Amino acid sequence: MDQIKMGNFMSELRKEKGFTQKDIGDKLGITDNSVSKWERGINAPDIYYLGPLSEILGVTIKELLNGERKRKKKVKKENQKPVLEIQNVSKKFGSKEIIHNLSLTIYKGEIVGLIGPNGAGKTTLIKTILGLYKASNGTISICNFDIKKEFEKAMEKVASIVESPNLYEHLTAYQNVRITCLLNGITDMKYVKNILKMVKLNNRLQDKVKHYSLGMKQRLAFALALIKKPELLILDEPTNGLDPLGMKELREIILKACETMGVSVLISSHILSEIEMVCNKIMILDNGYLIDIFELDEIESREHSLEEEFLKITSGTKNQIGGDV
Amino acid sequence: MKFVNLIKAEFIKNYSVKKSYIVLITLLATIIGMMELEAKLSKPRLYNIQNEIEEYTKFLEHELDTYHSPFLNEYETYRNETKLKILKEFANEKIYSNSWKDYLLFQIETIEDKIFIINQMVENYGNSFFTDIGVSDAHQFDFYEGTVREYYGKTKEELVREIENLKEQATNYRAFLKQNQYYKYLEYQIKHDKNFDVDGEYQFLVDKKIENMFDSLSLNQLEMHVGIGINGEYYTAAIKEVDRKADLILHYSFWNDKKHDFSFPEGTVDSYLVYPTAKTVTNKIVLLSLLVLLIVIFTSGGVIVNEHIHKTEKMLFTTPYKRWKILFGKFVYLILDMFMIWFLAFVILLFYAGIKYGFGELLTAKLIVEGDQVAEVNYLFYLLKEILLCSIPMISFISCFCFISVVTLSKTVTIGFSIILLLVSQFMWFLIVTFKLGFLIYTPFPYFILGLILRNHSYYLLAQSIGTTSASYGILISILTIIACCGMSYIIYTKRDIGN
Repeated sequence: MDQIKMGNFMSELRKEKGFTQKDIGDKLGITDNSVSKWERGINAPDIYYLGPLSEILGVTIKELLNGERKRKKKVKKENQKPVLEIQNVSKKFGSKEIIHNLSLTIYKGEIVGLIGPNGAGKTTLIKTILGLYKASNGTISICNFDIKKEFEKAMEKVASIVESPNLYEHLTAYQNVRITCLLNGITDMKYVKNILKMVKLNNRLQDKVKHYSLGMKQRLAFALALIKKPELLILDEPTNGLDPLGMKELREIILKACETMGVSVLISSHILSEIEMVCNKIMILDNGYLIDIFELDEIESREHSLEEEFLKITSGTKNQIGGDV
Repeated sequence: MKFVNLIKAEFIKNYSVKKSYIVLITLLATIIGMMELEAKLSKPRLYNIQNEIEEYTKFLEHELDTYHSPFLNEYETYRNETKLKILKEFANEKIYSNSWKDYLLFQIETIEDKIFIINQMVENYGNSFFTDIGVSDAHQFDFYEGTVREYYGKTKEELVREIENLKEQATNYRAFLKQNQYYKYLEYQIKHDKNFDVDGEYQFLVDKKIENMFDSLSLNQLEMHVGIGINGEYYTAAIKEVDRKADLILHYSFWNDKKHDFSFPEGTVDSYLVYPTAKTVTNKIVLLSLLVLLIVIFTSGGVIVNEHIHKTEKMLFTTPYKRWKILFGKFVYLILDMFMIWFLAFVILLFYAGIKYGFGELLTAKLIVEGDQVAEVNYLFYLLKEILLCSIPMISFISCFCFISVVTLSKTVTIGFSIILLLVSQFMWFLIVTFKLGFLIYTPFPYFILGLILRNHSYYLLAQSIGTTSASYGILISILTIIACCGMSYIIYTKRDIGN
């Protein structure tokens, strides 16, 4: 990271916005002298100020760290329809803020990978999107339905597998399917059979789920998610515990689902190679901040891999911890 | 329609064929077991007259007591010979211990003894022996001296007339006993004894016409236990009201030859004196609420908690239902489960009562008191109405159960605590009265088993002296409890973050 370049960029953006150094200092609760040091490249802002600062200046954290704006890619017309919009969402547990003022949008047809180190807040963010956690502030909309005001309509549009397959293990797979159909008002049995065929479980429906292998449970969970006919599918660590064959099967199911049903997907995972094979957009989360969003083909045009890019970005943000104010 | 799907889903999750069998077998075993046990315990003992004759004969082989007076010695000999004679006279009669016949037998012996003593007084009229006893004011519990004092001062003619009256009474008693004329016995007592308390006798009056009934009540014990008697210190307005209604119903059933099912408050009549009929058996349906709730707890106790334990909450709370609807769906499922089990218990009880004691009786009218009048209503509809009434406190218990589930999220704690609460509620009136815990009257706990109130549980009646309460009051408290528990559960369930 080039502190001088970053400082110049900061100064440029500040002036664009019409703020003084004192204005920035007041907004961040620091002195104008500290802001001045940043702009002169003497010091770099601490990680905790990066998020609010980038927001004030109207750029991403990565752009701020790099000292330059990214060239915006032309968005295709069919991607205009957002399936997920998160605006200024924070989540606190007690006095500890886990998600910091996060904003992002996922459009129809996108397969988005959400990556970040352990404790970055990925699962917390996913649970907040799904309403399992109540957001401390901000708004979350799924297919233009605010989850606070129109929760039921929002949930009709989304399906998820969070952390592990959530199945009634004392019941048969068929009973699990029946419950899902009942709760989601699905009556088209032909469609259901096709989904079960797609996940290759149509011959094991009368077995109790507790007798399934992990791979089979994952496939069943996936089938139950698709039975809902969602517009957005959220998967949190879907390949956890799976062998390579299981991972491959799941990957194929995800891609087929996106292709045939036009489902947008948000996948959270540690396994970057899997993300690379499935996703077309990457979001990087670290310490509750959305560090960067980029299309996957941006990386492909560079010399380094997604892993290298990820490590570069997260270690860059880590360098800000303990930075002088 | 969407909400109905939620309930259907709960049934798929929590109901299975295996569970149905367990519920059915538990109900059959418990209900039939309890009823059979009660029938066995209330079976009367037959008075073994032959045994009595043998023992008395052996006793008489020994020398009798001798007294200073020849009159007493003469009486002693006569008394023992007469007793043996009477025992032999009725040796082949079927007499149950502590029954009206047992009592009559004793009365016949007493009358014969009295006749002998009065005869002695007539034949030795004016003898100083009788004068000494007659004028004495010392406390004497001896039968002989008591009889002498009773008739001392009467003229010879009066004594002779008394002997004739007593002979006629003995003859009548012998006829009532041998011909099993319970009605005539009662009519005779009403006519001749102004102090005779017939109220308790009416209970059995109409029952005499049913062949499987037996005579099991003695007058003395009934007089002791019903009404003021030894419970005089607890005689409150509530008990007075019960007695008033009992009196009305018993009189009505007697004069109109109607079968009634009014049973005395528990504890006012010794258990062996109460006998089962088809109606008294089916009446117990309101007391089976304890069993029903226990079965609901054991078979569906994890309805809320299991979602948390097995981590299916994450799937459930991302369905298109607000959390409060999901919780309400589970609440409704538990209530439906309760009604299904209760209905099954009712059917089992009806069939058991009908097979054992006759279905015909169940089609006879129920006698109820409205104001100062007795009305006849359809018995089965009346029972169903009582079941619906009792279901309100049961629903309040289920709302408490849901609240405990939501707060603790632990199956063990929820089920354990609920069972303790339920079992303690069975004894709540006893605790209120014995330890003067009047404040409990204003909590929902004593009303969970509303049947105890509807059946005039004796401790409920006694509790009226501590604080006024009633079935209506209990239902009001139950409704408030439902609202409070549902409200608190809603707040906790909907605001909670669903963690790992």
